Amino acid sequence: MSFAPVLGLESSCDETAAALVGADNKVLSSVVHSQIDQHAAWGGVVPEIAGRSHLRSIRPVVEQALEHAGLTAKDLGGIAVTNRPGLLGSLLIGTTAAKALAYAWNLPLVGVHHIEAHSYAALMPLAAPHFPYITLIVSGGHTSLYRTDSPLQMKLLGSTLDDAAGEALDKAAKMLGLGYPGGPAIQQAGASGNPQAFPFRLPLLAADSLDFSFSGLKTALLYTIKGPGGTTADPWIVPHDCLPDLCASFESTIARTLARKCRRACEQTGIPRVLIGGGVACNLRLRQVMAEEANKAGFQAHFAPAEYCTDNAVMIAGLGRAMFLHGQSDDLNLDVAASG
Amino acid sequence: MLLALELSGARNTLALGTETQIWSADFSSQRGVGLMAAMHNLLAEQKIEKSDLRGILLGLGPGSYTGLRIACSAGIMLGYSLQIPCCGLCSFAAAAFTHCPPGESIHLALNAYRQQVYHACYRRQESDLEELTAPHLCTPQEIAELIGSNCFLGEKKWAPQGVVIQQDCQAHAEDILTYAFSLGFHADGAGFENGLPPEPLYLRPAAFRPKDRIE
Repeated sequence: MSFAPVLGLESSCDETAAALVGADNKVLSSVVHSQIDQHAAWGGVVPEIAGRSHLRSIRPVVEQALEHAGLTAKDLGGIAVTNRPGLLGSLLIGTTAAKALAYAWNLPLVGVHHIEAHSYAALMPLAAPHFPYITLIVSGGHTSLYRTDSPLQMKLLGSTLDDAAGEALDKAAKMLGLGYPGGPAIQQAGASGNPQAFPFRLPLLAADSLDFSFSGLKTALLYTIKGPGGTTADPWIVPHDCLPDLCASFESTIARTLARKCRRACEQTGIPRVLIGGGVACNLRLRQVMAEEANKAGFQAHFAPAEYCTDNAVMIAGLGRAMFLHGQSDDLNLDVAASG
Repeated sequence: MLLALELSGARNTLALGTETQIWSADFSSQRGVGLMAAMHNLLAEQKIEKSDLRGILLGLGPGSYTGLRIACSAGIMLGYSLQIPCCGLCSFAAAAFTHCPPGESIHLALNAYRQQVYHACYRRQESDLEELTAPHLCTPQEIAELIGSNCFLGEKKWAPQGVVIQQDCQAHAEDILTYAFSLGFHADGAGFENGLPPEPLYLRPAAFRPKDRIE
């Protein structure tokens, strides 16, 4: 089906992004302004810092996205924007910007669900998607399993009861004296480590549960390095040269938990195909462990391209385009939501 | 024709106008998300085309950072997409210009929460407004001393006894336009070099201290 390129905007957390996606999901441009450096000193995303940065970046990223694609407003078919879930103050900046553009340029507008867009990022490279899929979205803010019957139909099967996987990696990295964001820092520090050196228990919950829980694993890491009942202020009881093994073991435990839950979801639903998206889907150990589990259990694992795992606007423009093709759009009263 | 947006407090307003005529709308009940629809409606009611707009003025606060950023995001992107200038003015100054009698000075105080108050002081001389105290944060306890016996815009609880009070110190978008025209802005889009960059008046740091614990 034909539809002019869609401009996507993303500002739900700590990345301000704009992208243009055309026919057959062809990526015409993608610009991402990351705020990681601005949040690093706080060990996590500070909403007020995020809001200030989004406001400064929103116009430049849109201008660059259009310029890189060699397009102007008259070439566009619509504007898609993340309007849920995320930080309200950040969502409002992107959503208001999108409404202003849609109004000024007389273009249709559509609000896009950030999690559904992460799932769509894993679908975009597939020449002929074969629905349904199990979808795992794993990031600093989300760890959830869905049944995906179409790009626009996702049913929640399970989600984290406490920390998201990426959040657990961030907090573990802080505990281990590593940088922010924690996922890449732990991956790097644990690259040469033995993932079986510290046998953390997999937090699989009840035998049929598709939910996740990583707070106990985080405490297990704390007690491993500080002793039973230890606090973050206590000295290490294990030698500091264990760091690579600690990182590899912690990262591997999270990866194996995610892979086992995907397998469980496939077995329970009879769906042998899994889509994986979100920032933690970049993690090399997760990719390796998931491939091994898929091979063992007989399911296919499709990861989003690494460049579209972290927050980006390609997935927003892509899913927005699919929504326009299905006749969906919103008016200028489009609202935002922190959850849902 | 100029457009003004004012979302620094609980009341959300927008105005369209020239040096001789101003139309305004209050969309407080729709919150900030209703801004673009309210703008569309006001333009339609007055049979004004968006292509007639020659510039956008934003009330920059002090006030609610969320509301101010909605106004700034809309103003920045409308300015970009319609290829017209966009700049900001201090909302306190605009309110002072509207409410301060010529020859007098006026204090403004707005709840900044966290036991703090935004405060500023201005003197009005005919068509000129002089900033005596720039917008800043202070404590509620400091306010009465700062105000003395001068005119005051703000909540009654902060004013010394006997002071003339108007409780609503938030500027209206109409005030932004009126103040802008007094500063030399013109409905044809001239004068925008007199404005401030379209960013809220941030009187607080974005973050106070690094988190030092693992939750």
